[in-house]
Amino acid sequence: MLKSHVLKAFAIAALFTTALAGPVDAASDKSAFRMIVGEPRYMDPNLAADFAIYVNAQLFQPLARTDKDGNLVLLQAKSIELAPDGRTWKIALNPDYKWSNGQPVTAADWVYSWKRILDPKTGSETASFLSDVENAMDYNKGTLTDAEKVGIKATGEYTFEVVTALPAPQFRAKLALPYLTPVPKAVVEEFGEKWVAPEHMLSNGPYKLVSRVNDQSIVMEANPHYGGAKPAIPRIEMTIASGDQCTAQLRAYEADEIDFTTCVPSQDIARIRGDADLGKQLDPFALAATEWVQFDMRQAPWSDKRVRHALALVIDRQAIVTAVSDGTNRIATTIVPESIPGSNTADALKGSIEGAKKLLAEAGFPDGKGFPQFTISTTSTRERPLIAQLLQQMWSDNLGIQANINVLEANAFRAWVQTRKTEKYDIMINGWWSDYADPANWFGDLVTADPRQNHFTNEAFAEIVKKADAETDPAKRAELYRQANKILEEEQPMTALQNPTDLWMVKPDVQGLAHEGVLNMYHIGEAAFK
Amino acid sequence: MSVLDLAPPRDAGMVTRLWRFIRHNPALSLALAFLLLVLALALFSSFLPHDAYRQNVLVRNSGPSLKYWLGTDALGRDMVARLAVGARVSLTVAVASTIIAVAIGVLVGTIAAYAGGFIDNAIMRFVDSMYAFPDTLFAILFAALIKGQLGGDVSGWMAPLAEAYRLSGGLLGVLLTLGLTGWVTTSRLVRAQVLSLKHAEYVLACRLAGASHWFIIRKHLLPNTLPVILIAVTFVVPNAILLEAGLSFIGVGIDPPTPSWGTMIASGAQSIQSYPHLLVFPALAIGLTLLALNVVGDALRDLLDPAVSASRGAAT
Repeated sequence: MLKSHVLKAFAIAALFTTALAGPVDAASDKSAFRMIVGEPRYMDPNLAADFAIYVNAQLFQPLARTDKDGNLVLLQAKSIELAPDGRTWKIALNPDYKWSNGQPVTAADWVYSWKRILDPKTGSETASFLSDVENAMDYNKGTLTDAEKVGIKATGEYTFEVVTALPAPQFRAKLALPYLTPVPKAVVEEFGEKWVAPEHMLSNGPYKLVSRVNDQSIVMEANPHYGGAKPAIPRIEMTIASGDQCTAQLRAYEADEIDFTTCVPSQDIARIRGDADLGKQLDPFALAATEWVQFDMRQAPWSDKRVRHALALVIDRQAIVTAVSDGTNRIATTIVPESIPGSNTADALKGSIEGAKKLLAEAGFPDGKGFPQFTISTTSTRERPLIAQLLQQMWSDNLGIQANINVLEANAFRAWVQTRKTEKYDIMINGWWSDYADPANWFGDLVTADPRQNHFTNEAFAEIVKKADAETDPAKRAELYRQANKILEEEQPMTALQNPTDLWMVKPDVQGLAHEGVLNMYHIGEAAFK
Repeated sequence: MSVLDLAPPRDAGMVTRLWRFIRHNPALSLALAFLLLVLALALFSSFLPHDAYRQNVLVRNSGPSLKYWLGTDALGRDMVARLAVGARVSLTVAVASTIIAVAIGVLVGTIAAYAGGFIDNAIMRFVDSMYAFPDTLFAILFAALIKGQLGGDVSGWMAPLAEAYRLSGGLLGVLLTLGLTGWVTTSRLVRAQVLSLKHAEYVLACRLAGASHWFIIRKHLLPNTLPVILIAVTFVVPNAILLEAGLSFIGVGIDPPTPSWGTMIASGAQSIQSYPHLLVFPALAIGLTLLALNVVGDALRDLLDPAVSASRGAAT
């Protein structure tokens, strides 16, 4: 009898303790911010050019940020001034900011880091962000071997200067790029490539790297010597997932295994939006980015403007946006997003389906007769194969022309695009995400430099862009880019489809996680648990 | 009922025997009925109320309803129609690649067994090394190679092949891949059968009478390997369907918008949380078809294998 009473008492006590321990456990769990990321190709901030910059941004900090109006908000810099010559940027560092071992971050570290980015031996993809700097590209290509001639030099322990080859107003925005951070000179020189190992790495941002297991996990803890506001969240635990990041993130998020997702898979958006709880946790951010369909401009029939116009005019963008994003993406009528100076939706191509049919007939293909069968190539990631199938049907229904679809795995597609420099193709689906909110990033880095192999050549366009690049008066510069925009839309070498929207989901107990900059960075150091 | 009635009539034809066999085997009847249904869907998919390619984004991802019996996919296309066209793709792949695979297998197996000696050894060691490869991996490599070779711009003698590949939406690549990887087991079975037949007295007699090798192979060896070949077919076919699904699932198989069960499962798997019907129906289609094929294969073996028939006869 007594025994059973004791047992009962124990059972009740056990129930109480578990009931009490439950929330206590959950709260203590909240010392770490949990998320899922892809395996970063590089942890070295001088090399990281892909989504690794989002991981790196917790560790390494640039000189400043750009606010919504394009003004610099200083971080590691105490002041940034442009000399009257329009070319010399004088940068003074804030000595409060220290490496995670307490050593000061000096001008020597910054100069070393930026020259290391340009060093051809580093082979960094981020070198293009410093292309405005005097002699930078010659040094990067190896035609100039003397690093001293590059226009970046320290002028004191905490001051340095950057000289651009020409007056380059867009360089102000580049100074705030998350790609351009310092690295600890002494550590990099001592350990070489191994300096990014957790036992050696020093960082100047809110967090320091504690551990990293390839393809498994990255753990960060607050940097005790960080010069800015100390992070409220002391620890970040990142789990590495391979394959489709969005799906992996959403599943873990719904299972309450992570606190934050950076995207929602296309096929789940409608359900999340319709869910009373999950819908509230959605945090959309309209990106200055465009996805489009582009033609091989060297090839017939695509070299015929009437054909390009005909294909562009019959695209139902609303159907695309609805099918791939449940309407969360925005319709794009111009390649350069509206938020970028120089772009204007008034320049968008106008016409009707009837007009499109007439244009195609004028080009020699009435009702699509005689039009060669062509191939739409696309990567398998994101919702691109869906877009390809929608386009295929729109073109077949309205113009009577038939397309095949060639879906390539993401890495294979990237390599395939590279080889299109010399090889021919018909049509591909592609996109561009703003690195900095400046027209040079679109008219120059995208259209003129042509990394997407569109092969658009137009003398008037090239002339105007060249003029605009060196124009220091913002109003005149925007006006020049506007002229370039008109040519681009009239020529229609690519046809804009949609402006993507990033859909974050944030757990209700997290506050202060904000979207920063055109790259939509997140800074966990500025967030807190409720 | 008299005892006489139970005894099978001596002159019962093949059809009657088969019909009786099916009637006394409910699992087999069900399997055959299901396969007939799949076949009918594949053949007459154009008579279904909806078109497999017609998109309607307004009704995308809708669940099963009276209008769309198994719901619609991410672009609002009818799942029944897509499953039916997918069945056509799967069955085409299965039949065509099985013909290629069995033809190669029979040829290789017969040559190896009939020639014997060094040739046999060389061929069978090659077959062994093919066996050592996991067939899925081999098929992936092969399919990726074909897609790489024929998928781009091709000139010269391969140009017509590339054109056929393009027009078939990747189907040709899958066919070739499965045909060229699926023959290994068949060759072994056929070789074993031919080896045992080669020394049969009637073959010896035939040879002594001056018959050519080709005559002996054609008249005596091949007809007698037919049961073995049929049995080989029963496991090459399901394997081909499964491999096609696997290849399409990882993206080296059929290109969109042509539906295949593999591509439907691949896109359905992405939607499993929000729209499970997109995964469940194609998965059921492939699972049930494979089950039915296996049941039929088992029954066929029972019917053709004298040892099994005899033991069955003894037991009853």
